[in-house]
Amino acid sequence: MAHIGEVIESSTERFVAQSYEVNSAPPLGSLVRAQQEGEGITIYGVVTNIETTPLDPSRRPVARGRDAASLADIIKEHPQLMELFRTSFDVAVVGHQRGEQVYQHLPPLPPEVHQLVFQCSADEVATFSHDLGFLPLLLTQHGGPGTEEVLAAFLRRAADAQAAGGDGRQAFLVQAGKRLVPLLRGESVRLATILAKLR
Amino acid sequence: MSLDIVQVAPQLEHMLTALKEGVAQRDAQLSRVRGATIPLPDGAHDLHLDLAFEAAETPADFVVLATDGSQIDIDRHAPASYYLINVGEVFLRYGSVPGARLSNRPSAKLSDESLISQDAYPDEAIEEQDRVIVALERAVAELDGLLALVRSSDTTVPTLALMDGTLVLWTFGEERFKPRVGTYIKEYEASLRAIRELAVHRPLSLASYISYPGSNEIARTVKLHDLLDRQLFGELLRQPGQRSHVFVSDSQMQKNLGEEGPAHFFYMNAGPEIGRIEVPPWVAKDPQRLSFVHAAVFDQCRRNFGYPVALMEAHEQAVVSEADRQAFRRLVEQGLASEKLASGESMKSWSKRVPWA
Repeated sequence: MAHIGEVIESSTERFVAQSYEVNSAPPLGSLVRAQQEGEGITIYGVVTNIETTPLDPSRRPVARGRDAASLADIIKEHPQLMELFRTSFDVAVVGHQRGEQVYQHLPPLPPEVHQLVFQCSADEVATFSHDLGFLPLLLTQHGGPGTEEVLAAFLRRAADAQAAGGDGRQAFLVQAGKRLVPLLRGESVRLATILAKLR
Repeated sequence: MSLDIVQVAPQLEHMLTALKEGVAQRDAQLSRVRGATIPLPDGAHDLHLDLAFEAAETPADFVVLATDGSQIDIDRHAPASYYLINVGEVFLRYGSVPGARLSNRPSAKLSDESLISQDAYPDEAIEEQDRVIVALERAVAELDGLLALVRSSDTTVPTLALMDGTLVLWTFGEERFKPRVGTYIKEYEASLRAIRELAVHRPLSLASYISYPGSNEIARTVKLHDLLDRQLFGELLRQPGQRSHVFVSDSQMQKNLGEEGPAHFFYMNAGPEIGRIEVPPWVAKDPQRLSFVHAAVFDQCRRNFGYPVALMEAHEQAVVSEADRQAFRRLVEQGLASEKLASGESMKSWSKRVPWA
């Protein structure tokens, strides 16, 4: 599968990747992976935020489409516009893989900067999410949309991937919900917020 | 030290008064132009000031190419004499297959010290000459970059190759720089020739665009001595898109274009201002190419609030930020130091960077 972006900021708990196409990114909650070549491991992460900003922060974009009927019209009139922005996405690290073994805890080192970023296939998502040990890592993520949104988005995608593998979508979501109960003890509102989004 | 603004304020008032007087004089002359036929002096009847041409429609598909440059000047107080020229390159395609490519090409160079004898010249004079030499090389690099863009773009689509500023290479008359300046003039002329020769076989036009032009070639000819051409044509070209008659420039610098000159020019109402467009003779004398240049430059202005979008993006690509300038200098100096080539910077330069009290 072709890579979709490249690591431009890297840290132990999260990294930022730039997409090669403006306005294009893996959806919120998707599982992505990047290598850590020094350690010879694959690092897994969940997309927690997507943003498109000017390449040159000192140039403020202006509205162009008063006479246009669609975005396509505006780009046709101003083909340079798509060259002046970049789309990047934040990734929360949720685990790594060494050889065949998948670990649902933080890797010893983050991915190298400029490391290529790949979107995981349904099979990879199913394999990774089979064990739900990554839930605490996702629950403690900060920044971007609410943790609850990201976690629910990931679980829905993971449930679809499990269903494709023959397991029940609903069974997976119920199991995930049960795992969340002890993790969110004393945070019943938060728990209810997440559970309500698991449809 | 910080500026003593209390001392400056009264001086500003004098400046404003002088400016107001200038504006009043200009208005007096403009009121004579307004609604009246400007009396043309003998021999100036081919100026056709009464003519205004509407912009044609642009072709369904066309390409605009542009380059612009910036420079990091030689610092005589640095441990080595080096400079940098950065050329921004823009390809814009409109119509059925819209597209854009924006890029820039930096080139760092050591200056040839043997050409610049420092004897008997004050520092300031040498620095000024360095700047002019680098600016000349930059103009050559801009045209060269434009030629490269022309060579790499689709030969079947109508194409405007656009430069920023005047088409003419500005030089200065210092005797001892003659060989070097002569080389630049030859290179510049060769690139102009190459573009003209490519245009024989494809729908290609070359032009340059001057925003807020400061020349008074035409106003002077019709004896409106207090006016600039842009003020005169602001009265004559009332509608956005209208252009003037095409004139031939008679400035001394035209000789630098050799067989590729002299530059022709016209003024155009770009919307918010009057712009000046310069074209080589082969464009000026070909009604189809001239009409395309007029239409495409106006279209560029119309898309971008009154200034050609290709030139704006070329500038944005070329510009080197203060942070990048410093990073570049550090990189060079680290390189010099690691190769044990650094002879240290001057105390004057050090004192500016790390002022002490």
